[in-house]
Amino acid sequence: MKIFADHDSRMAALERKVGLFIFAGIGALVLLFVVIAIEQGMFASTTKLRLHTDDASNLHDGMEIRLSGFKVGKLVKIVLRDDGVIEATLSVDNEYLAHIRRGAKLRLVEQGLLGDSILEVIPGDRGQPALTAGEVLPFERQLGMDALAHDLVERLKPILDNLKTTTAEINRPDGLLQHAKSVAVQVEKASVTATELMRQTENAIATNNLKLNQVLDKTDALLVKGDGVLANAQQITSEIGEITTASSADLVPMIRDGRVVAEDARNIISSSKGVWPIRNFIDAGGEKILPMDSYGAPHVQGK
Amino acid sequence: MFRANKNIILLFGCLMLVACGSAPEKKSALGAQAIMHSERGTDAFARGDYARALNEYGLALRVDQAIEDAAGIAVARINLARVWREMSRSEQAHAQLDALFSPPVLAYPAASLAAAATLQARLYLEDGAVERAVYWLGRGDAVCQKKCPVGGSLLLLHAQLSMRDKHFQEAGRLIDEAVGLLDAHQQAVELANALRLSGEVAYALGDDASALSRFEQALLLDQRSGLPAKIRLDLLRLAQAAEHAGHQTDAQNYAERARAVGKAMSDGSEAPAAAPLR
Repeated sequence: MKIFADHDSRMAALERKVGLFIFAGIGALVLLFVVIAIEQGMFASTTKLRLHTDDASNLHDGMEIRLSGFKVGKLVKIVLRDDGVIEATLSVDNEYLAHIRRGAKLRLVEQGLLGDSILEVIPGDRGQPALTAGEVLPFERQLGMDALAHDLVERLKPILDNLKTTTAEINRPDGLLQHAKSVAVQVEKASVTATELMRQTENAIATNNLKLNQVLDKTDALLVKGDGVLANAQQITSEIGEITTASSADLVPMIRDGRVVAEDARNIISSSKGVWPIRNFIDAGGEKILPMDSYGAPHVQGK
Repeated sequence: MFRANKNIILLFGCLMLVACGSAPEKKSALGAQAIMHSERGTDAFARGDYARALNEYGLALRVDQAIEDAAGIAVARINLARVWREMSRSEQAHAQLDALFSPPVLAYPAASLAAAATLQARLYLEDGAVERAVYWLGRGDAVCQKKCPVGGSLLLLHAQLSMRDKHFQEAGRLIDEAVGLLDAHQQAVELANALRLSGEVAYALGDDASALSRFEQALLLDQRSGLPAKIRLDLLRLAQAAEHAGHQTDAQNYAERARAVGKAMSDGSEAPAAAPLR
């Protein structure tokens, strides 16, 4: 190559161009790496938190941690400790750490039927102190579809068992169904007897109706006579009404006169009471001293 | 002449009627109300409903005080004292009666003051305060002068004092005098008291036959008045007199009757024993 470069000046320029190209390429690669690293949050300032659980299912590295729908960090490491406890290390952006206070919880949530699981942060009370690095957050799982199904089966199982037992009881030879059948047969027999009884009753009623009709015929005759009496009574009442109407004109003045007479009589009697010697025979009224009782113990009066 | 005389007689008669006739004294509405309360109190007293009697007489007194009816006030206070006495509350009874002899002094009727003094004497005698009883008897005598309705009662109280001092002859004389003053219709209770006292005097003097007779008469009067406590007392006296006379069967019978009356009055429980004859 040196021979070419010595003899051809174009070769020297080409060498510079290739060098520049390679340098640019490496630069582009580095830039790409930097961008990706920034995108992945490699240069973000984070705080390490932890969670403890006894079941690592659905937990995996890189799992997103979300707070109110925002990605605030990720699960970076899961280890099984010597004491059997599974410890997951979480990396949470310091930018969002202010929203996660002591008392906050982590919940494993499935996103939809086929969605990934994420760790959702349930923030603590704002009045609580801020979290420090390495602090352990309480962890819980939201019931997934399989857990819900399992729960449903657990709840339905005793019901189905009872249903099965009940059906067996009903179908037993001496069970409820057989008993109901025998009762139905007895009811049928009773209804036949009742029908016969009703037929006999109808006959009896027919006979009694016949007798009753005879009695009613006699009563009709009596009523006819009663009508006559009533007519007479009406006539008498009518006559009394006529007499009253005729006398009513005189009655009011008579009552008024009667009142005057009564008032006069009252005055006369009242005046007479004050006249000697009548007043001596009339009790003057007024308050009277109880009769004196000068001998004997108290409580002398009858109860 | 005869005609002229006849006219003169007619004219004289008319004048006499006009002179004697007068419009009846009309009570005011409040006065009538006081009378109504007083009458209700008397009815309650007769039934033995002393709480009601106190209430009604109290209302009558208030009305009488409001219209300053001296006679009404005196009657209401005497009746209140009488009810308190029946309830064995002598201090309240004295308070009512003392009010009639304390300021403000109103023109109370003499008969009412005599009745109040008699009741005071009666209450003190019951409590054993003989001197106070004698004092009030003296005041009663001074007001009454044996002319008032309680004249007989005053004499009976004097007789009781004489009996206390074992002056039975004097007591007998006073009782006889009291019987002469008492009205058999208006004062049947006092008349029965007089007969019973007379029987006790006879018993003390050893005249069992007279004692039995007087007690029988007293019992008859008390039965008419319908006073169980008095009836029981008469029967007890009869039992004692009969026993003293040697009539054991009669005595037992009277005692049984007295026990039955006492049981009936006190709703089944035994009535308190009466004071023995002196």
